[in-house]
Amino acid sequence: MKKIIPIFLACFLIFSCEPDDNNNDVINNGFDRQALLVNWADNIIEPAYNDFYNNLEILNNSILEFVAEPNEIQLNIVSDNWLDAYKKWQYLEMFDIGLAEAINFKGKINIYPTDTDVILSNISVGNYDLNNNNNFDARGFPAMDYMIHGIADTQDAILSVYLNDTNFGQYLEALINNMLYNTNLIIENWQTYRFEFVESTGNTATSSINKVINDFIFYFEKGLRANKIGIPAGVFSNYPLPQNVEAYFNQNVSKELTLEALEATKCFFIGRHYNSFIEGVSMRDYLNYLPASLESGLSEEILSQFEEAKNQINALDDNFVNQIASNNSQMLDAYDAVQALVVYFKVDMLQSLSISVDYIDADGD
Amino acid sequence: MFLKSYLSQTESSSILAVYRFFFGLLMFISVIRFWYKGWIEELYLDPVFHFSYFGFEWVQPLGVYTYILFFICGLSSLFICIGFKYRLSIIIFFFSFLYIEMMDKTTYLNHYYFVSLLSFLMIFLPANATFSLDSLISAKSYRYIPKWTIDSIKLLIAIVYIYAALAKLNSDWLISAMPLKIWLTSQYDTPILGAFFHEDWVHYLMSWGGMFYDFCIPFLLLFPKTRLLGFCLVVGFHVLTKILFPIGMFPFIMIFSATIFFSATFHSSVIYYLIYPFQRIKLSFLNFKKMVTHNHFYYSNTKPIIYIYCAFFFLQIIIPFRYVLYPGELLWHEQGYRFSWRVMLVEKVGIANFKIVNQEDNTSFYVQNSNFLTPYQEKQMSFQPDLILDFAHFLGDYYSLNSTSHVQVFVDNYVALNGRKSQMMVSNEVDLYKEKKTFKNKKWIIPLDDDIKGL
Repeated sequence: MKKIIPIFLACFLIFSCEPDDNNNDVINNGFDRQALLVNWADNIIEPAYNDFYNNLEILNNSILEFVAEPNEIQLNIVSDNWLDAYKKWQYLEMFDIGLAEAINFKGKINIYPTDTDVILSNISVGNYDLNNNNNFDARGFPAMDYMIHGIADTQDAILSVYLNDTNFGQYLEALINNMLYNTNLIIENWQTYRFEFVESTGNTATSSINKVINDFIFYFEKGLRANKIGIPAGVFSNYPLPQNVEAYFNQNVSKELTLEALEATKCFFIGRHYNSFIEGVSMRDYLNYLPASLESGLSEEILSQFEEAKNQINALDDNFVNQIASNNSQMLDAYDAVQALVVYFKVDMLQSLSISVDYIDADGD
Repeated sequence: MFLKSYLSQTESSSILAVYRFFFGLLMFISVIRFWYKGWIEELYLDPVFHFSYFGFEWVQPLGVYTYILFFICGLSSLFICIGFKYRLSIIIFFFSFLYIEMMDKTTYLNHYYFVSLLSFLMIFLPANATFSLDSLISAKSYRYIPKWTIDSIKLLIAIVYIYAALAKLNSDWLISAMPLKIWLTSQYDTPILGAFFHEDWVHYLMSWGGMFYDFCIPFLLLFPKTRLLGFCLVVGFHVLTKILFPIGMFPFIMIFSATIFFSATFHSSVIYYLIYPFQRIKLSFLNFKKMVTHNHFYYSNTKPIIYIYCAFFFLQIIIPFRYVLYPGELLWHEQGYRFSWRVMLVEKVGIANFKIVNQEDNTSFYVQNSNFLTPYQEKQMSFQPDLILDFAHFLGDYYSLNSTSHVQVFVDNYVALNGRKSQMMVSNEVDLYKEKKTFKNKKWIIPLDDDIKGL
């Protein structure tokens, strides 16, 4: 019987090798996860960043001209360019990965409602560091929205603010500079991070696929569903909070931005190349490969729910503030249609993917 | 007559002594690991709300004293390991461990339950009869102890395996290979094996293999001829599960547990090897009396213990079957699910959003679960009806405090089970704040839109 001990030890040693983090042998594994990551990286994320940066530069040029010589025509150009860039941003907010996560990029670009008191005190004190997170709600698109649409009641009054006090123009420039600066950081970092990103095909809490999908779901639930529709419609409060709509000071675009965001998430889901109709390897393909979601036809249901959500949002007033005031229950209907997608993502899709979630660290049995 | 002769059979005391040693050691490591990973804080101190077992709402974390509780638990397991004040230590261990497990049912795990049961049994066993500090200090040791004391642990282990096997006799596990199909497919990054984990035949092989494994293990371990084979299977199986799934100490506990089936010669040689390095150390400064080795350990009164054990095992045999008292699909509603060795049977994902309705002005809003629950609690709550009810009551109490009128609590709850499409689980039309916590059938659970055949 003494023989058992060495055998026991041998068994133990043989089996106790821990798995390596990732291995690349994905091809004979039925689904090429690396191709999925490459499509995300090269055809979706990187072009979206570049396009966003171009739009920021256009916005920057118009701001420089406007600040040099404030006039109505130029203010309208700034406003148009602001909207264009804001729409491009909707294609990026979901990618809270790599350096973007590390520097809290989305917190630098799109925290709303913006705090007008902080903005005004920054301008009057004249000493501010927009990159500092104390200014989280006094920067990015929402702050710029206030600066170009809301700082006074009429366009003439807005112009006179800029004509009378150059500090306002400086703040506008500081806003765009901060956005350019941070976007540039990420684009530069992406040149190297991209390779790390596409290699990380494993199923761990920190692997690329899991991170991107977790972030996607988080964004869809929080950034899109709650921030753009739910919170203003009063889903999480006793009464509606119309002052919390995205782009509150230029209210006419709240629907446009929401539709753009929905389109962006759908394009990502079907792997559509940025600004193109070519479709690459996608989350949809992955779901069609995995046993549980293949059987239930999940990806088709998700796509038709995307249509439903789009129709519901389309039926709303361009201006969500008006919509909330006139008929909030229609707003809540749109919310429900988006919420149905959240259920698909958080329940059906997560079950099928069985991915390790990053925020939970505990034993199971 | 048979019973009497059975009760008088004896077996080497080394078996229980070695078992005690490793049990204490593993528990000690478990407590350290738990502490080291920061789980005391994360699971018991951070949350503002804890899911209590029905009737045990008074068992709550003790604030910073929770650390002392874990310290006591760890210290007592160390004492068990070295066999110091064994009886007192195992009693303290049992109660402190039980208290820890009952603080929050979010963390219910079958292997914690197993440890609770095992430590309860061990309270009554002469596991310090030899190879222990107690016997060194009292200068008394025993060569033989009653055989039934060892058999009781074997019986507990056999129950665990056989009930785990019975639980697998259902159509999800055997016909659809669920949930292993989902889990294995997602383990594509396991070295070597990962390349096969998306293959259908692997899912079925593992499902059926797992079921037969659970049935066979107690018998393979019982007979000397197949014991080595059985043990190798135990080691192989549990190490594989350790690689594939985040199951912490469970594999080690099960591997260790199987050693109770080994013969006395095995355990004596283990003791020999464990003591060997220390033999040269002179312990004379401790001024030990000369060790007297008795042949047999006798209980002064066996009867009460036998009665306790009979009641204990009777309960163990019937408790897993209590689910038949509830209509509907056990894996879905989970009434009678815990304490039944239903291990790794379900892949469930849910979402639960709670709506607070103020009846006075008919306003309502949805709660952000994260204001009250940790991500882990929220995940576990979202597919377990009794946790959903507990949380609804908590929310009802919380929002009633700031409100003059009675509030209602509704939930939008969707759950997916073993690869099925998600469907509503808890009805969204029921004011959960009005529903009592009871062991009665929960009528507000919408039945699963499918049939799972089997036990």
